[in-house]
Amino acid sequence: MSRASTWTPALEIERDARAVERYARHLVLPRGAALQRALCAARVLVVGCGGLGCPVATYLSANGVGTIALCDADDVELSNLHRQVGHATSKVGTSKSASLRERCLGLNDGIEIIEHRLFVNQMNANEMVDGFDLVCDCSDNPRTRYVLSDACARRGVPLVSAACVGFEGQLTVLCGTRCWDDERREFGAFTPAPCYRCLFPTPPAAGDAGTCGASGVLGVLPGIVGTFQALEAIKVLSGIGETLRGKMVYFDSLSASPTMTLNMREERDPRCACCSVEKFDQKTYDYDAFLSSTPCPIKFVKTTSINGVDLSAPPAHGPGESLDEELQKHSAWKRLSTGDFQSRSSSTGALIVDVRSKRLFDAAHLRGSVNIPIEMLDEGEWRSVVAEADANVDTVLFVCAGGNNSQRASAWFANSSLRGFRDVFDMRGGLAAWRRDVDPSFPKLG
Amino acid sequence: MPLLNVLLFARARELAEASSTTLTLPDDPPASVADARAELLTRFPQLSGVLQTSIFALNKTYVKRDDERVAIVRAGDELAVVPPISGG
Repeated sequence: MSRASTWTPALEIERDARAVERYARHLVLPRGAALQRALCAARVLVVGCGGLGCPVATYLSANGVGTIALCDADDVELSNLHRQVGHATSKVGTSKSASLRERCLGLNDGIEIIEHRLFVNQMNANEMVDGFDLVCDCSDNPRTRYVLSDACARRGVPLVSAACVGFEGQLTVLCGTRCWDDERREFGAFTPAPCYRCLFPTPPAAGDAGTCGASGVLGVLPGIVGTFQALEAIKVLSGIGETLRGKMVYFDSLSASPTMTLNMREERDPRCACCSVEKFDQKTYDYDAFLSSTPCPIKFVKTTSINGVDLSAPPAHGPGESLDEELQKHSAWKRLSTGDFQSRSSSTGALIVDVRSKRLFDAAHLRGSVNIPIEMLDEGEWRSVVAEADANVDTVLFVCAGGNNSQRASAWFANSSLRGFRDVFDMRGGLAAWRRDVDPSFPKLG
Repeated sequence: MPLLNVLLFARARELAEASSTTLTLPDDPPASVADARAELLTRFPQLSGVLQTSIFALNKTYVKRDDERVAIVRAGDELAVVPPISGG
């Protein structure tokens, strides 16, 4: 008996009965075959494999996006799992990009998943985005958002940008669009749109950026916003419907009408420092200077520049970095290793002051420590919290999550009238280092 | 005296401890978005940092920073203050 094929596939992408069957519910939609051809041909870069990256990558995989690159250098942490539903509990401590890749291939074995176990930065961004039809920004910090948008704006790659924190999220299409031309069976011409910088020319000050580690996030929220982001990617790639180009969806979980669509600028900002200048050299652009250009609103910092070291500068990218080698030379306080901090803190006159937010402090703190969130820190607050114990305190030890704000607090306290003759210290690396060096059972809250 | 309804989001909401507020602005000469920004700062000095980086949308339409002086606010208008969010 002849085994010759008796049917013509709708896809014309691969004469594969399983593919036709897999995408059958797409293929019967109006313009469904063209939609599926666009998705199967598409190459999408997903930057960040966390709360947003999980729904984006899993839905794009299941929907049949031909090639997906997953980019993240972090490992899965237990505190990720309440929202990052692409990772199994058994993957804690292993690479996020590898874990999500496995999950995506489990959903669809007919696509290619590229794994990049690295972070996007100004040195690699151009090379990372080149060759992709669309990029999804699922990152978690302002630096990556600007770097990625700058690269997409300059290289002509559409960027679907989503973000969320607390109970709120935002979503928009940036840099431009390029959609599927089904007649020519290829992606068409690129039409420029405003970049992230055109919308947000002034970066958030350190402490105002709104990250999930510091402010918390409702677990289901990135699931909603990330699924919205996947939808937007599909619309931009295939050209169906109306995209969020020139618009922003703002999602407010706690409202009874949770979405609000804002009309944004349609054209690039002619004064944009990235997309409207003739030459923009990303590799030499000073992102540190740009990202620290908005002064830190924390009140004591306004007046605290010590020996030319600006205390309002945002922390270096990555936990536990010192602000301070310069600061330390002239300093009226000292930094301690976790071990030295532990022995100092056990003496009778020692007071540990934790300057994290009250919510983080309440989740877990060092035994005996008191909480003065850094934005509250002033003489009045000090007196009301430390109160009658104050007279007996001869050693003040500041601690925070990663060892940045504890330096700011120490610098402020050591130069305030409260200091008296007391010794002032802070702990290098903060509670993250404490967990690593002293007590692995201390919960990882970031 | 136009009443302007202001919606605060994200960090602005957190710092002001309010998701919305009402501003009373002068109508002669008519108040602009720039006046609303100044009035917001007077009402909530703690927003000084976050207002610099936020998008201002009048009746759901983005107001370019350069246009804030000419964007006139009328009674019953709604101004949304949208700071950038970074989490993911």
